[in-house]
Amino acid sequence: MRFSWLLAAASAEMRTACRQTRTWLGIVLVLGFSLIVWINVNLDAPPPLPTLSSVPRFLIVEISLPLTLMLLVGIVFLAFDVRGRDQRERIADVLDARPISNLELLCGRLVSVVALAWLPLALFALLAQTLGLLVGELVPETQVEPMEWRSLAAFLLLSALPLFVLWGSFVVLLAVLFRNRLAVALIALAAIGAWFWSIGSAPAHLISVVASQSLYASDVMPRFAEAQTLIHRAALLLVAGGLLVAAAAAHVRRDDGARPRRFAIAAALLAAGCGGIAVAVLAAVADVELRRHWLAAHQAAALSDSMQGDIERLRGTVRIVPGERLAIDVDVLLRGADAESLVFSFNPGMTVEEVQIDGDADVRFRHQDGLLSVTLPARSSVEDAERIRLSLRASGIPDSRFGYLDSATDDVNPLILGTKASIFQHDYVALMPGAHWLPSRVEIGGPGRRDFFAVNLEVEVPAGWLVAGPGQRREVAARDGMRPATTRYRFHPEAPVPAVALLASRFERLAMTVADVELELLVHARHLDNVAYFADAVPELARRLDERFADAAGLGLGYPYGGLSMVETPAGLRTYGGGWRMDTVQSLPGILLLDERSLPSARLQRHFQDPEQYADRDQDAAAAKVDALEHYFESDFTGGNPFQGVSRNFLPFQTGAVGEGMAAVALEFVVGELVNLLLTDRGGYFSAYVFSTGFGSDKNRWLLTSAVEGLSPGASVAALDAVANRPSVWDRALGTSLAKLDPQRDPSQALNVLSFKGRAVARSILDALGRQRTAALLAELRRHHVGGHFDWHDFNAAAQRIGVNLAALVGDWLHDEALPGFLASPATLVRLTDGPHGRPRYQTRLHIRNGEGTPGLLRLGYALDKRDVRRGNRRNSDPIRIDGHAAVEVGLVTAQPPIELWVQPYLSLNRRDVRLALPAVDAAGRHAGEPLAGVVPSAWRPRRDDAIVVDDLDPGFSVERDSAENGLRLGGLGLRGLGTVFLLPADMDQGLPEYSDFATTAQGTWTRQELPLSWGRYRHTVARAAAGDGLERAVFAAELPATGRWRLGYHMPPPPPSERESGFAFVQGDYDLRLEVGAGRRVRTVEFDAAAAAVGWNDLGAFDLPAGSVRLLVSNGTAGDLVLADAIRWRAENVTGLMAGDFPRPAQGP
Amino acid sequence: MSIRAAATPTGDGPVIEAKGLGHTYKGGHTALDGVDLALGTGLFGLLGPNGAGKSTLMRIICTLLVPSRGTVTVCGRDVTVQRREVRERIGYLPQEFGAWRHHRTEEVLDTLARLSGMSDKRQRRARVAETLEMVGLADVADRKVKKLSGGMVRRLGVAQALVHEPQVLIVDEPTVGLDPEERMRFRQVMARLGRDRTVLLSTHIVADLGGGCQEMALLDDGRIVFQGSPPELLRQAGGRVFELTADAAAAERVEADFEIVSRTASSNGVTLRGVTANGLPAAATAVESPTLEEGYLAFMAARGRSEAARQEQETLGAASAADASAA
Repeated sequence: MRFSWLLAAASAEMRTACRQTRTWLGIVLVLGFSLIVWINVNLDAPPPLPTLSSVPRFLIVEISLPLTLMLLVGIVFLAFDVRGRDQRERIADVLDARPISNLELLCGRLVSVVALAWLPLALFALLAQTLGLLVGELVPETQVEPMEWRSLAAFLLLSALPLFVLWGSFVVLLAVLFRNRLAVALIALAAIGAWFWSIGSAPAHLISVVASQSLYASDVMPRFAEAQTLIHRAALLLVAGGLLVAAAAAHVRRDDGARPRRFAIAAALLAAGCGGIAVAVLAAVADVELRRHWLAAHQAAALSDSMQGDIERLRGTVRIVPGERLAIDVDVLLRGADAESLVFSFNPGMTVEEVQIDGDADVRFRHQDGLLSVTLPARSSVEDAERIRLSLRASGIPDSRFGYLDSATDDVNPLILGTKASIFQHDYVALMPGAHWLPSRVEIGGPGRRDFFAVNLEVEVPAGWLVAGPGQRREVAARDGMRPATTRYRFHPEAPVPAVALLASRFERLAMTVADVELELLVHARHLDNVAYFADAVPELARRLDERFADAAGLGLGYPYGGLSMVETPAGLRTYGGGWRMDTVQSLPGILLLDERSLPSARLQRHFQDPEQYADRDQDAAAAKVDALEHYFESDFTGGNPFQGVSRNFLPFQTGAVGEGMAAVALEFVVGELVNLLLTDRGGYFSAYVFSTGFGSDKNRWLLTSAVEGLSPGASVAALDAVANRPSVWDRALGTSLAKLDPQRDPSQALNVLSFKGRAVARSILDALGRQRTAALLAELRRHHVGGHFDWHDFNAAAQRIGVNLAALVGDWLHDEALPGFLASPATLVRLTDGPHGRPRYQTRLHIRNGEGTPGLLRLGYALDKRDVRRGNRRNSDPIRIDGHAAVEVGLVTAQPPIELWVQPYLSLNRRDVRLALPAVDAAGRHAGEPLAGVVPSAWRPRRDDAIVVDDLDPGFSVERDSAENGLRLGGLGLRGLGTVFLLPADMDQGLPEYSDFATTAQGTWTRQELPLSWGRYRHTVARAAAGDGLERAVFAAELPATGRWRLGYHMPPPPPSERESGFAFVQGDYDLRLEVGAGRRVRTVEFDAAAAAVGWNDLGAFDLPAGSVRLLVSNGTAGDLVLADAIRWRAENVTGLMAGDFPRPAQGP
Repeated sequence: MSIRAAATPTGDGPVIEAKGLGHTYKGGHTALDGVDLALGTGLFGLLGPNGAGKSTLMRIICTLLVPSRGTVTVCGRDVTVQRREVRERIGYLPQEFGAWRHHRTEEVLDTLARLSGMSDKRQRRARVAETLEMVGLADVADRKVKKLSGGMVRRLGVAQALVHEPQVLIVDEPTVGLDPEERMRFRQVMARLGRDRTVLLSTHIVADLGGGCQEMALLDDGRIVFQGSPPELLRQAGGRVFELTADAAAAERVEADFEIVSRTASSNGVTLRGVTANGLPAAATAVESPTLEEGYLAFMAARGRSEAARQEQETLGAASAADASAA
């Protein structure tokens, strides 16, 4: 091959392309897009969301795929007529008569096409890096920074280039095979589309192979490429070579190369390339298979008679030679040795050098498949039959694939949360408990019984390295036997730990001591911007932390480990665990992990440019900054929320719950939430499923909801509300108790049920008991069970010991699936005689009845002015407890008349807060008499109405579609259906799709929407359908008890508030109503003009009807925009023979 | 304007040699059948009516088409086996030539020179400039192809065929679309090029061969029906070209029975020159020095193919006349 000819062809092609408008249009688009994204990320201040926010340093990983896709489309339009253009321009013969070979010609053209696609990227990289460096250097407060260069270089050279060459070759081959360039473009675009689709559909372990992109960029552990990546990309180039040679062979022009030989070479190259790709795929598959193999071995071990080590104490030394060798020499003291052998999970990357039992080295052991099995010596040689001392010496490099073997989602792992169970590299070491780098309990099936043990470890690291471990780190004085250029630290906390993690690197350290707890921040040297930014807020931060730790200690829940390290971790480290729950592992005893994409690189300075907007005006800037920091942390729903994380140290790391099935999990969850609420007063939510590649819709659900509803009071809570507190979760929750929840059936939903129901239970316990008594309960639990376990009875017993009957207070929340349900009377609002100093007083009173047998808690929420309403700030009453089938009267005395009033159950069949209508107040009138400010028993019952009411949630409600018209509907999606581009599947709400602006429901489909002032018993919902084909009907069916004249009412709720406020209210028109009477379905048409209807009951007329079934059908056909079906009412007008009990259900208005 | 001598072909054998050459297209149409041809240095004219197989022959010689039968060598290289070597030695101007519309004239030549193996940039640039000068495009060297006139594009085609100084120049219907002046100029260029290299010029316009043509072949229906020098063709036409002057009515009768090459009306009547396959018409005299065109027509008339040959020439009659006046 003559290079000069190839270059000649390339330059001619380049010249041709460069003089075409479409080329420049493409270049400008790509360059513009990437620069705008880069500038936006650098200069804009989006709400900081840990791990999900765009960090300029790591931007290229986020935009690499869309950029690649855009440029591949560009390549199609550059290369789709490489042959046809010659013929159109009538230069084909002249070129063909040139001595250049087909391969040289096509290769040259490919070079040009690839260069044209790649150069804009390179230009973007150059511009972005130059600007980043210059602006960052000259105007540091802008926080503009260049991208991490290794990830950038990896994208340019190892992702973009091979992909461009591959796809370019493919298009060239198509262009040679097909003369019609439109056909070439369509086939190529379809293939690219299929490739892009396959990225989204591929199993998690194959995504990086299919996408040919790096998944992570890192400052902490920057990498250009691993050997596997290089092999894979070389394989792509071989395939590209094969395609190109095939194109040269198939070219209509003949040259000296023999076609059969060319095809043979092409086949060989394709085979070699595909072989290389297959090697990469098989390697990834083999990793999965290996994990499955390990899992099977662990499952077998979990069922064996071997003793699962109940570890009591762990002591010894750990030597870390980063990237080269981990050596452990530990003694493990085990309890309850009544088996013939022991079995541990132990990382297969480690080589066991020696095992001793109680000092006896003559022990048979086997380390295979990540299981360390030790045959115990004869009983006579065991000094203490109750305890065994296992001494273990092992070394090696922990296998980063080993860990969390029983994860529920191996195929759809949340890649964003990391893939490596452990890291042992020359620049960073993360020895996570889940990687079992120490012998530990064989865990299968999710969180099970945990050991709580004392730890005393000496850890040796290279000089200059710092290591975070369980609790406070003490440097050990140099002594004989220590290797040169190393430092030793001891970790010996007083309190027990359930796991040991070590994280080491050349960290920068910042520390403070508050309430006798040493807090340290270990971060990468590059990530000190935020440290500098918050420097002036350190005293305020210290004050608040001191307050919290001291408060915890005062409540009897002192911090147990003496020290707490917040450690930065690289992006690839897996931060979620295994089992069905896949809980976060970012919180470890004495350690909080900080993903480098969160706080360390967060652009808080930019986001909180005006700290005052996040704080009350009377605060100083430092306090505002700390507020901002708290807000940031609170928004973390990727598992790194430090409020939740730190609070685990106070109790969940000290003792664990045991019990049958989910009872232990739920009990431990509620206790954990109680600690969190008590100490931090903050909620939170983490579900790895949200980030799983196959569960993208949940993340979208959260992103969209939070975008619509705003992020206050924190994205984590918004996530809980958007993902966990939704109809399908409620439907699941209502069918089972927490203890009976089956995590194997749709584990993500099980976790959602646990999250929102458990949190509601915890909140109700806390509010029912108050802070002091809750703290006393938890302290009592810790005192009695530290280092051990507790069950449901222990929990209630602890409550009994502090004088609380929890069962009476909140019922059996663990085992009982029943929930309370609240009905409220219309509220009254009057002005009282003025109070002292002439201050006005207003009395609001109402009755609330618990319509179910389970006791429940609620609060009244109210707003006194529009500012509160706007901000979503409600004032709350104290918790109100109502026994089953009992009622109370509640009174509020306020200085202003409330403008909004809500019944706010903690956990009830009402599901959500219920808004109550408030009457207008007579400002002139003054009511004397004793005001009611609190709760008194009441005998109130909802008024019995001699009418039959069918609500959209009643069994009499259903949706039918004309059978003749059943079939594929390709109806439009409507204006609001524009959101379907986000492809959110509609959630199901008691048999109907939940109404959502972003749901994928076809035009005219009946959906269900929560509407506070709609008709309902516990829940207030309305069925709604955008104007459709008139064939899908909402049906209100009722059984009339007697023949006679019945008056039909149709309830119309007020329009949804969002539509009222946005001015985007739908236009109402005539409804298509039909009355079907009797078994023969005699039909009568009913007139109803919704545009003229009033809010509330609307009279549809009186009908002489026989006893028996009657159905009102509401079709989705209307002259307006939508149809609402809330409730209907049949009221007897001239009916004889009615008896008590004919109207069994009390009606309940809005 | 100078035309450098091309490298001498290796060996003493013919530069282009075809033996038993035949080609049948996929549809079954036989374009060439048993063509034997041997060409040395000089301008060689390939004459024949449309569809005679000229372009097929040229495309085979240029390695663009694989013959169904027979062999062709160029400078001793087999066109079906040693394509690269053949292509290095030829310059080809196809019947239909265009170039990259967005490239400048100079760039087109430069690229094609590079693709022909001229890797030395300085040398190449000088040669490009020289070639542009040679074909009269120096003034539009910076002009984009899409802004060139049809004639200019044709000249650019000649330039690209010459730019790498090939030993063999193959031009297929080169004058189509050229104005008379350009056609004259082109003939001169061809004549000069033919002095030191092989120029194979295919045309159906006899006048295109000009005075520089040393040897020619007539291709008809895929076969070589004549190969020799132009004087030989004229010799073979001896006695078959006639001239007569008659009144209009008589002239009409003659025109109906004979192939008429030219008709000139004057006060004496109408003077006709024509060709005959059998005998002269009454009152006609045999022309002593027929033109090459008349010789070609007479030859074809003798083969009973006067119709095909005449149509070609008629369509270009006006052009030929214009040529004459330009000359």
